[in-house]
Amino acid sequence: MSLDATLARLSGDVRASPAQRWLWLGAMLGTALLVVYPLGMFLVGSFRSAPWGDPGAAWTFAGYVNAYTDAYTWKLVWNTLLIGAMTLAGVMVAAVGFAWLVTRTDVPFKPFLEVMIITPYFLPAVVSGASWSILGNPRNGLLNTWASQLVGERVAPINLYSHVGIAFVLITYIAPMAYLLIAPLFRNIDSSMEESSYVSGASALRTFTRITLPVLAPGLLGVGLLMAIKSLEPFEVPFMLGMPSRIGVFTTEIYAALTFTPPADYARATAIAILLVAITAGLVLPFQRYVASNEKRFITVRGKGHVARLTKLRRWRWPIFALCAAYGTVTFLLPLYPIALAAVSKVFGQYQPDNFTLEHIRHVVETPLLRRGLINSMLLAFGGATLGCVWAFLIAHVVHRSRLRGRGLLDFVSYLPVSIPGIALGLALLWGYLATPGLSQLYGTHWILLIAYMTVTLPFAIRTVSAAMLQIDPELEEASRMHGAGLLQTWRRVLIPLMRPGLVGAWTLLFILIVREVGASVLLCTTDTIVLSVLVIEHWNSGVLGLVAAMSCYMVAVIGGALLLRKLLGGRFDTLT
Amino acid sequence: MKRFLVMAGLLAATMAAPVHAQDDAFAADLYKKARAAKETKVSFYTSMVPAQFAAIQPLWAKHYPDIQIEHVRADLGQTLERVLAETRAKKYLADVISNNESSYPVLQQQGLLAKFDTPSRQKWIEPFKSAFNGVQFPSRVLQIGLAVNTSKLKESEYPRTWKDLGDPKWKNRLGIPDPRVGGGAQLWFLTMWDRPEFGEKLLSAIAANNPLIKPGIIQVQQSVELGEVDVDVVAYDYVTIPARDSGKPVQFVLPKDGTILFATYDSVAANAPNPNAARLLVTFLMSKEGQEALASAYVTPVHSEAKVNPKGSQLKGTPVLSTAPSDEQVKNLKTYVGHMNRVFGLR
Repeated sequence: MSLDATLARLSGDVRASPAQRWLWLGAMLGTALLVVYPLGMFLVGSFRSAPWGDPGAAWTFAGYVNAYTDAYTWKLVWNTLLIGAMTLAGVMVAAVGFAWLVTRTDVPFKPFLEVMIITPYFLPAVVSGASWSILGNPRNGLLNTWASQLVGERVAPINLYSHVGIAFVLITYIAPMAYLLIAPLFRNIDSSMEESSYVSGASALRTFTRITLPVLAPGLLGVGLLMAIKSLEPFEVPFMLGMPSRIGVFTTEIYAALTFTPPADYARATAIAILLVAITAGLVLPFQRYVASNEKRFITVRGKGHVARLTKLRRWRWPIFALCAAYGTVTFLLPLYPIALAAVSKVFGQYQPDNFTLEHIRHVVETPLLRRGLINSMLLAFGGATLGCVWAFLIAHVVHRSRLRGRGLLDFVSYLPVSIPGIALGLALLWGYLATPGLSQLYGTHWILLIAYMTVTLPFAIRTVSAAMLQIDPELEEASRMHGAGLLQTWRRVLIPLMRPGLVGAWTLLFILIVREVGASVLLCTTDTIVLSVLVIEHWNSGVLGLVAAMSCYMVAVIGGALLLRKLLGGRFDTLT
Repeated sequence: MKRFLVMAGLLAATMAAPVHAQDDAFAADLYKKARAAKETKVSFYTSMVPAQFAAIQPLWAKHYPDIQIEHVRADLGQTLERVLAETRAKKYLADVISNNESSYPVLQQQGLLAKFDTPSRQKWIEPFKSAFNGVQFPSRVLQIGLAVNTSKLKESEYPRTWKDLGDPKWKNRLGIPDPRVGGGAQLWFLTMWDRPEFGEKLLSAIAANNPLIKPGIIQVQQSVELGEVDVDVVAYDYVTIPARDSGKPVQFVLPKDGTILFATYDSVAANAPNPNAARLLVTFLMSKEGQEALASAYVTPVHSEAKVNPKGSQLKGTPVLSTAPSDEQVKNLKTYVGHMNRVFGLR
């Protein structure tokens, strides 16, 4: 039997073209190697008394028994779900609101508003957590101090060391991610239905709630799903703000099991991590069924041309702008203030002229290791975001544009990296890569980081790219193929141009995620391949706040610069995404 | 008497000279062997912070220009994970591995550390000299004490002993790093718990003062710098003193009733790809010169002849309560973690 015939039989769809079948094979093997294998090793580890490969390891349920018979675990479940639910609600309201205003209305200063909502995500999570702690701690937080000065007596209305406080800070830095996923969806809808609504006399708000939102509901459901998972797995913010009030969540407990008092308690860590995987499965599987049976509902770009006309906010234009600017001030300028101040101060909190210095800022570019970190971060983020988008496009094509065997499984597996907290995922990748011939040869090089970044960011890439692909009517590609175009030509001439907003959004999100990534980087990078996010953590652990703040400013500049460059190359200045 | 002192000084100098000469000759021999074996780098898997590495690196480069130190930095837990994962894959990349009393048993059990000795050991201070186990070199010793906010407390108001911290006047004014995280905070808890003059009574009194608990020593120190709390109950001298020198409102206080000398060790990896360079690095770190370089980054030198940093914390006869957890404490660590959870309400 020829190779093609074997592949046809394996792929389960004899009508698929050879190119599609090879694509299927590549997507399956790539995902199996980069995602299933390392995560599989980690999950199998939940039934072992020691990591895979350790001498003397035995099969055991002890990790599960100990974790789930412990009342504290259920307290963690409650804390995680409570904080996660509040975070998700806030994230979706903020992201949908901003996405609609920026992409579908005539609200003024759109690039300014975008900067306001996106930039908080550029900051490393530890720095963001520290900044909010300085602002909102109940003992002497700046906000409480200012409030006390205002009312003339000591008051402490704000306590970020609480469930609500943690959720608030999480909203400020997860909302940008949701925005980057949602804005392209809004950008790609046909405004004819909205116009009909206006012609019928409906207001902007009514049109938004009755027309725009329902049209986008399937896409928003996908993003909401991803954000729900994301809201359950942050680590740094609950770790920093939760500990003073003894508020623990899943991720802090996983961290505790892996790093407190060696040897690491892998069984407990993985047993708890499995619950996050189970929650992910519980959310993703029904969603997949929904997508499979409602694919047509996702389509917003059809054969006929469409224009996206802007909704006029009329007398609400400036009040809404003021509201958005206030949100941006609270979520972006406020936390940036302590960081910027620390970056240019010898001693934080002193305002004498001789206390200000550019030493920290200069130190970053003059120190070879820090300079190397800066350059590595930029190159890896550029390469990782580009390759990640390509990989996600290939997988999304198999999942949504074929009837090939295992495509549902492929889609599900691509979600898994997001369900495992950063530090545990980093460990899983380290175990998996080192045990894989070929990949282990790449250990210690930039390539292994690139591969790790593609794996870590896959869920976000696949969601964004899939959402963009689902918006395009498949009949457009079929028409192209019927006119004699090959698969690649159809992609180049039809599919990719139509998906452009989604692909650009995905690239942007991946770039930011990679620059900020810590969990895998800290275990996989070496002196030569050091990246900025790891250097931030290292210096943070050394207590040099000024230098950490300066590096954070560079991180903001790197990401902001990349977005600006992309806009310059793209030639559009109306919005950043 | 004067004549006797002169004689004694001369005798000491005569005895010291051979050790230095031995040290130098030993290092020169290792360097020669490393060059002969074409060992051009030494991979140092370590928790050594950038300031400490910056203190030793130029000196190393001056003496051993043909061998580069690859500084692979992570905390000791991550360093352990990296080494274990590489070992499972039979990919041996580390030459020198930093460790402490928590990670050492795991590394030792798997046979990942090599026995080694340096002539300079004869000059180490006690108890490190007697406690040497043939594998762990205490290259970075630091002092554990208190950090106080100098703009909120007058010098006369500083707590001067561990017992002072149990006074109710410190209610809502103390900060403590989570002792479960390990490192110095954990050793502090174990030491306090097991010493009859402190024990559960003192720890419970401190807990009754509602201390602010943060993940690590650095975070608590920052809370002191920013005035969120007045006193950091477990502070490292090498963190607090440079902060003070840079103008931050903090001061390191060595409690009169004793300090804890907390060591981070370096060991030659059993499967080091550059074994001569690895031994050379350890020899260098433990030498008088290496320890003096580290002392400039506020490390307490283990080499008795290395100059102590005059700006650093001076022990001056302060009792040393402990330098490492005992075997018994390591064995029963989970029980102690239970005590930590209960006393400070961590769960």
